[in-house]
Amino acid sequence: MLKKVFQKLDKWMGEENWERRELGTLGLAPVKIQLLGQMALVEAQVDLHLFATVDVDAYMEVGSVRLKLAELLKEVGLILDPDSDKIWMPEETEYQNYFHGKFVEVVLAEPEYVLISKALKAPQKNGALISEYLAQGASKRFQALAEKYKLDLEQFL
Amino acid sequence: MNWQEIQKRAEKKRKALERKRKDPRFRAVIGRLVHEGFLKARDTAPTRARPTVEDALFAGEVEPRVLELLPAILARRPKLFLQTRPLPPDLELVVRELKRGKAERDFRGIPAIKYTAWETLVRHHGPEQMAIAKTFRLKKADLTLLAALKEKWGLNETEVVRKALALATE
Repeated sequence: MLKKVFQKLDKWMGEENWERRELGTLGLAPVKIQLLGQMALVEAQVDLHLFATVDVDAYMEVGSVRLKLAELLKEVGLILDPDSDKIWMPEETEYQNYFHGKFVEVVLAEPEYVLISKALKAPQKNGALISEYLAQGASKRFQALAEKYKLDLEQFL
Repeated sequence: MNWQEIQKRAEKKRKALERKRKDPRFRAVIGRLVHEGFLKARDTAPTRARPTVEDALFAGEVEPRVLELLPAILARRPKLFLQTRPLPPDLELVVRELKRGKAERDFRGIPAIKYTAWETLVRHHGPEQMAIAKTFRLKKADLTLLAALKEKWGLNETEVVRKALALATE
């Protein structure tokens, strides 16, 4: 579902830049959006029971493109979290490609980094999700992150 | 503790959670929240069932996002859940504070900043009903027309655009 939103955003940027060229004003620079949180897990199609409130977490620059994205998300019943920038992600977070348009590039935080962020910062809210993940057998990458950030696993068992 | 032991113990927890997820009370609550557009759930069909507040509290033990939404729902759309008995004291307190715009305390591990954030969404009956900010570049002639309609209809600019759109599509 989100891919269609980003396609629309890419199209809008193209039209907006064409109009701005006509008016002789500065065009919009290409943007990179980093999707985080529950929506990153949903879009990565991880095999877990995922329940998500309607907020979308993303790192991206503030400006008219962000406003337009918020508008497009609302049209499909989602809300761009204005506090996304406050979300903590491990410094070594890796991202996978998700959408590459002419002006818009979107990447998803890899699931293990999202899960470690959730486990460390909101363990109560994400307890069921982390327990389910651990029951599947945590990946080596998750194990290394859990050890590095001293995650208390007992709370999920 | 090694990772194999962690997996074994987590599996027991997962099975217990799975039993609760299959409970009709859990499915009814999640289904209703999905129907209202407050929650996205891959494996649950939307339903118009009207679960009780107790059912919602039960579902919240498995999925805390329900607890995140519950105070705002009870404050702004109380009919969404059936109330068969008085609210638990902690819930009643946060709902009362939320109605007064003074929510500060945590509710069952959910910080006030989190559950108050849903108030606007719930009040507007889901994101589809919320107003969206749009920007347009208008020429001087358009602005003159807008100002004239504002004066004529006695409305603000947004209401003028809404009315004009309604008239154009009649």
